[in-house]
Amino acid sequence: MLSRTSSSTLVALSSASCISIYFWYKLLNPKQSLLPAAPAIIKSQSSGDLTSETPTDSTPPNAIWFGGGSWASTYHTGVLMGLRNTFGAETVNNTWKAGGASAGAAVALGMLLGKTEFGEWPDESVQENVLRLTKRTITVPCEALSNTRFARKQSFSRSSSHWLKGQGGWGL
Amino acid sequence: MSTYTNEFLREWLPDGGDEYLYLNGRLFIGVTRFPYGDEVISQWSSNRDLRNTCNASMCIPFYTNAEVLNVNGRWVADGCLTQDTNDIPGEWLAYLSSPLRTHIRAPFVHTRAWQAATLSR
Repeated sequence: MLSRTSSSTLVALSSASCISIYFWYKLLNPKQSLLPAAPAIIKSQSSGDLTSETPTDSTPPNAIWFGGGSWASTYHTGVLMGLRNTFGAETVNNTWKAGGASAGAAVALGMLLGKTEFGEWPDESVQENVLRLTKRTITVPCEALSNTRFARKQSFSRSSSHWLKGQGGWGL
Repeated sequence: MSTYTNEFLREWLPDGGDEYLYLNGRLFIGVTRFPYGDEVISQWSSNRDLRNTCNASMCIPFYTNAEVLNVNGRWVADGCLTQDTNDIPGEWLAYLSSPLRTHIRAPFVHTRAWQAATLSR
């Protein structure tokens, strides 16, 4: 009973901390959304303007950085498909430079190796494997949330739209 | 998680292969050096070395069951923990997922590894 009470207290304190951090963030950054519907699309400029969502020049890029975040990787696959359709798969795979952190590193690696798993919406068997992985990753920190419905909601119902939105990135 | 990531990494980068030679200088992987500080790695000596770096870049401490946390003799972790978007060169397209990292400069000491990694291109 004692441990259960302590756990509940810990969860409550953690939640309160997260909520307070969220409101402090909103207070300090009133124009920014903490949880956007899709990852931010940024064309970094040498002038330091990192918030522009549209490119200010028409020079074709030859290098790309994929940020981290497991959910974002589905968005990155859409971006990669858009890049290959626009500039050609051979050009993107063989002449571009790519980088990434966390899950983005895997996408960058797959891009340079010319893997077609990225850029094609997976079939049902792949979806089942990803779903199994999703359930497992959710199960580790909080078992109470490890049900199929929640996992599906957090994966395909969301990532499919991310994948489609990704194809519309940087002037593609 | 590393069990799953290892599955495709071993398939893409088999032991004894020479894929790392093609990727040296073209692939840039961000990692976090303990206790703080970001670093970008773009040179490897083998496919196994490259796999280790990829695993390290996806390793969240106390969450993933990573086999390897040690790269080039130093402890590393998930690259997102200290990723600084301001260090990404202007000519790079950057697709980022974290609004916090986008608009708030991370309160860590940065090694300015991007300049070192990209100036040698």
